[in-house]
Amino acid sequence: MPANGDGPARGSAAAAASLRRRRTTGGAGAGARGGTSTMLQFYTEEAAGCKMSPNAVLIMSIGFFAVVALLHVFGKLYRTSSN
Amino acid sequence: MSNRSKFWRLAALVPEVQCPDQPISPRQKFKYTAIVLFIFVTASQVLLYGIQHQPRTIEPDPLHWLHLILASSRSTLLSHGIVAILVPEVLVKIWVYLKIITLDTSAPETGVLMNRAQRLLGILVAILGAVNFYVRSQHFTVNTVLIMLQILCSDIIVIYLDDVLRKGYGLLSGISLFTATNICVNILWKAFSPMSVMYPEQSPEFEGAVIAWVHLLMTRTDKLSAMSKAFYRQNLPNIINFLATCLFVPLAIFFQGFYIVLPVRTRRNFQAYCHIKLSHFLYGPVVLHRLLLPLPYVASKVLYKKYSGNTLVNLLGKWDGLNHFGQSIPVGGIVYYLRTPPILADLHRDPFHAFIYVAFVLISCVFISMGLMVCASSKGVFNGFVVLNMQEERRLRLAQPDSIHANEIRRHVMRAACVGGFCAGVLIIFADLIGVFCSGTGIMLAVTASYPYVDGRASEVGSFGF
Repeated sequence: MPANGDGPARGSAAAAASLRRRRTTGGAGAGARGGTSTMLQFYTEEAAGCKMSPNAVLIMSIGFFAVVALLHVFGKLYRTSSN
Repeated sequence: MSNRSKFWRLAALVPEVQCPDQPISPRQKFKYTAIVLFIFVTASQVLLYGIQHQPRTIEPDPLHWLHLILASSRSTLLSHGIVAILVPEVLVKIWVYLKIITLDTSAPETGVLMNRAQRLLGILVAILGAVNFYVRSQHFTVNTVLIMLQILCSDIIVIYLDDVLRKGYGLLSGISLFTATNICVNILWKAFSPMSVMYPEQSPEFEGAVIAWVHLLMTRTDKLSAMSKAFYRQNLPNIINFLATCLFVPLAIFFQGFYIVLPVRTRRNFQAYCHIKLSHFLYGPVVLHRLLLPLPYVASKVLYKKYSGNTLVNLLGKWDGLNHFGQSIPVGGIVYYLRTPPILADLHRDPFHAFIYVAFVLISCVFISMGLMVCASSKGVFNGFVVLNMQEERRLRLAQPDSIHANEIRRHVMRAACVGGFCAGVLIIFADLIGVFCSGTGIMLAVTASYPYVDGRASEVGSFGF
């Protein structure tokens, strides 16, 4: 699984912006609010699993569908040669 | 508590797309959305490798309504469409309402864990889908394994494409985008398809309504019969259907703009205006009505095949397979009256059937809309329905006699839910009677899914419009 590099360093402006956006894009738990920034960092750090960049997702998708298309091509070639 | 901890730890193992570190420009969002759409549309055309493909015929497809909502295509990589992202979304909402899951909204990690839980559920649904194919195929070969792997990987890819869009890289959520795109592609295909359909003892006809119209005018010497055939043919899409679709889409868009203004009395006897948008109540009834309606159909058909002599079974529905190209349609009983009258002329031929159908659709849409409101308010989404007019907020005025207290907003929102459900029912009936492409439900889905972006609320709206 392709993993992204390390996130922005703790305490920098980029890290603060990243944490803020994580909070605003909570999604299903729309009501999640409150808590200090230290607490937020702690929980986010614990809950964080493997991260993927959107480019990795797109490349993975295109790769899989290309493989299936190649399977079709080779399947036809094999069937043609066997006849 | 122990089981819950294990579940969350398992959910934490699921990788997810990282949030953007900086604001994404609209051009970048459009690019990501276009790439995701290209992947999705291409996958819906690539056939599953290893499956036996029959030539395309006009065989009955009893699940065509489900394919429309789930954006799926038979025998392709997207056999299951968006079921892997739609089912977890609905299940989590139902569980929250039934108190099976209690959300601690004060904890900062709730959103993160909820997202991971939904993703884990999606992967479980994908695994179940692959296993379901094995169960249906009744035998185990190399091809079966290949097909199961393809279905599993495709569903997981749909999950992550939706995750990319949700994290802010795209314009809409994945569910709305995929459903709307699928319906639009279907409509364009019915209007402009260059495919020819061969009939025995007849000349081939173009499938697309507009293409067939031009072709008939150019090839037939009798212009009147050419126009008549293009406008009224029953076996393929015709121009009347095309014009009905062109009429219906602006009507559906117009309904999206409705809102009700409420004068709300804030504390210290000041007054502000709140808007309740009816469009919030349209999406849910449209989807659920189409999902729930086939249940009595399936039950009645299965019972009729086994116990066709029973009085109660006959009361539920009588089915006839003759003279309808091999498809069974209801010809009597309760199920018959719930069926859409095929054409406008049937309104006069069987007025009782028309009346029962109209009443059933309207009442069921109102109840579904109110039910969704009850579910929505339990998780704090209630406040999202009432949009405070920000311009008016700076010009608070003294409370007028007709203003209402803030505690009464909920009662008015429930009343708006009734109106919204009623409007949804009216639109569904109107569209089905005039014979639009892809049914009125499909067009309502596409318009409702796309409208939040036009309205400027793309980032606030979930998959069901709220």
